[in-house]
Amino acid sequence: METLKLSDVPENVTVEVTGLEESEITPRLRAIGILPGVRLEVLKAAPLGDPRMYRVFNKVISLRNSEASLVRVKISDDSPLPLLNVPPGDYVVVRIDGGWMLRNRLAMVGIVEESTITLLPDGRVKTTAGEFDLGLGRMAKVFVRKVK
Amino acid sequence: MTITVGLVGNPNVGKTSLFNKLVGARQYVANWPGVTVSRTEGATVRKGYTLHFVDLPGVYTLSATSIDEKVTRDYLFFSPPNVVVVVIDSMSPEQGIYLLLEALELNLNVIAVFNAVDELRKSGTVVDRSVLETFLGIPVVLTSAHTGEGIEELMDKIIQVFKGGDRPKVFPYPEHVEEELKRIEPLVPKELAQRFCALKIIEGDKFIRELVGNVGLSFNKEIYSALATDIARARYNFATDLISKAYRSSGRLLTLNEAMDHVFTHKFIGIPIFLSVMYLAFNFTFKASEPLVKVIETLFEKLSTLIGEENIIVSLISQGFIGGVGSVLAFVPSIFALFMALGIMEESGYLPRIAFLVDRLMYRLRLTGRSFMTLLLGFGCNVSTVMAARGLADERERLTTILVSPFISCSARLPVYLMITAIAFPKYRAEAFFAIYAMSILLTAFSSRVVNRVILEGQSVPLIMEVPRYRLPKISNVLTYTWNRGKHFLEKASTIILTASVVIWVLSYFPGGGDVEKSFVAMLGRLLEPLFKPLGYSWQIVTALIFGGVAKEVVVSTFSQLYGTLEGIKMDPVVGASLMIFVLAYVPCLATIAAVRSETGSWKYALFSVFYSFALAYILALFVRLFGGFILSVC
Repeated sequence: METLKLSDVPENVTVEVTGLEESEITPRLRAIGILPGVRLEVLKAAPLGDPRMYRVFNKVISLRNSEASLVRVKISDDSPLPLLNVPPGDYVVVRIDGGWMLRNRLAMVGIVEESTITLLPDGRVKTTAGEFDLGLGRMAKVFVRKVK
Repeated sequence: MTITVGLVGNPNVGKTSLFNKLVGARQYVANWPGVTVSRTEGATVRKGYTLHFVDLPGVYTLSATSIDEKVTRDYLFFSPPNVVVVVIDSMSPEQGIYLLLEALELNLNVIAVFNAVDELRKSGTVVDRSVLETFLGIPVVLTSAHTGEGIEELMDKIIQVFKGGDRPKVFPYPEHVEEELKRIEPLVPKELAQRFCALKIIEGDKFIRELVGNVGLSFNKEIYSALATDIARARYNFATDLISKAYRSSGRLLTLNEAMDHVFTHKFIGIPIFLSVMYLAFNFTFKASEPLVKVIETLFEKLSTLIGEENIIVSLISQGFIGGVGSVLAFVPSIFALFMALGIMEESGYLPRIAFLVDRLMYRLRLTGRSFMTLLLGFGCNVSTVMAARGLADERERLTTILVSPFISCSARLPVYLMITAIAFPKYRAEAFFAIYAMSILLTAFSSRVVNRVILEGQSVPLIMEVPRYRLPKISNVLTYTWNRGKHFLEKASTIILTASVVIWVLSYFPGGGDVEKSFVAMLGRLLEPLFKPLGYSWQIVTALIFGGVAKEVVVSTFSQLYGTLEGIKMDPVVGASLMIFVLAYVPCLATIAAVRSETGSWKYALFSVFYSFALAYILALFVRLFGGFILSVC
């Protein structure tokens, strides 16, 4: 799988570190646990998208994007991904990144956390309640994991 | 017999709370304002031994790149304590164990403390201490700074280890790392911790490499960087392995309160919520302290009139001592209340989230979210900002924060604005207040750019900050926090103000024998009047401004003394507006100048602060005077 900059990974995605660009702050990043092989979870961004919070082991660390861009990562195989970015197939909804309004809307079409849904090749979503066209914005906020 | 104990740990592991618990009620906590970040020391007596604790700045590694890391590293390295206590957050122990493994290389007596075990238990996790002790090879104590659990045991362990502790086992690294270590170790002078130095040389630590001198590096940079990664990975593998053996839990360790964070750090409503919280904090500050302030003010007034001013000694006591010190003491309740509000915010874990929210904006000013919190203190009193800047890790950021802090409109300026708006434009007071506070923020932002452009060139510092768990603030911790911060204000500000008010009393008493009109101060006012002619200020205003250099609120009392009463004063609206801006910006008060001097350790910055702000105030006031006059004549 291709490597990305940590700063380019969307929120709620779990990644594995593949490398660090050497700089002034490398010793501190290493000490915090940002090392090749370590899993990180992108938690959430501040207003304007910078800085962002990451989970490293059991600590939550805030990094600016300028520092996060020094970290090369690949997306973990078992990471939840936005429905928007996955190929057609069967998925389990892991989380819905939004407030109660979005949750309500999605619950009406049978999409709640833990429910199983199918992404059809035409981009429509099949749930227990039927087949629906969610729209790109909502699909970006539904995080799913492939059914094993 | 004295045992020195160094407290080391990651930031936010409750090290300082532990320190407060250890040192207890009979503490003599002294702050050592080094050139940069301070360390706190305190002592307690146990079983005939004096335990002297040193609370060091929180770090993740002993490879020092920032100032706080240097303070910790230098202390452990150059003045090694008898016992090192590494404090580890038992809720997120990995990073703490990493630091512990680094500290073990120093070849000192080390005790590992797993703190916050009460929280761990609440989350349904058990930790097996004997497993930890077996694999780490050093004593382990489980504590809670919150409940006080394990504190006594820790003190006993310290004495025990001091009397005859086993030196820790050597932590093994992968073979290829060990080979390079074996080669470098003998080249390191015997009096230094050889293995520690050899590791740091491989890890590329510039300071240790220079200290040890040439050891003939066998590889290029890339290979050493790969070795450094292997070293770090070995430590983390050990840490995760140890935790899997010693911890028995159900599910993930950390339960970050996600619902709370969804709201408090929300993209859109996060900042409005923060502004409301700050409004409430300020409101609390003034409302809670108001009655007490009133009482103190009346008390001192009564005392002052009781004594009268019949002769020179009595006048000195009533005007100089009581008047001067009283005006400061009247502010103490507000300051304590503000620190209390901030203490609650810090204890609960909200403060780092604010830093997270506003970091992007501060970045534009070459500051970080952390300095934002420090600057907010300035709305109460600029001295608190200058003092609190100690907590900022980066030296350049700390200096910038100190130098721009006088432009934050402190509460002492409030009575002056109230007076001026009442005299000059009674119909537009609210608008004037809004404008002057907006101006204060603009000037602070502008000055930050100037300071960074002119005297402190450099890049913005990286913000690598831990976002701690939310905790329910504990009253005793908040009170300790409030007292420790507020105490400084009492000590420093009151000594300075006392001296200054006596000097001013002398200058306004002589040679007229009590008649201000004929005093030195009046002479000075008249002498300097031409300088302020372009601004349209009378000699009374000039005199008030000179007095106000000591403390801004003195401008008001000088006005009333010189004019007899505030009622009859007439002032041109344009002069009023220009005077408001002048009062906002012109020279920091004496207490602030003294604080700038002591915190930066040099007169250079204190003088810069005085001249820069005076020049800025003059230019702005002149601009308002000319431009405002033009607008009024047109309308």
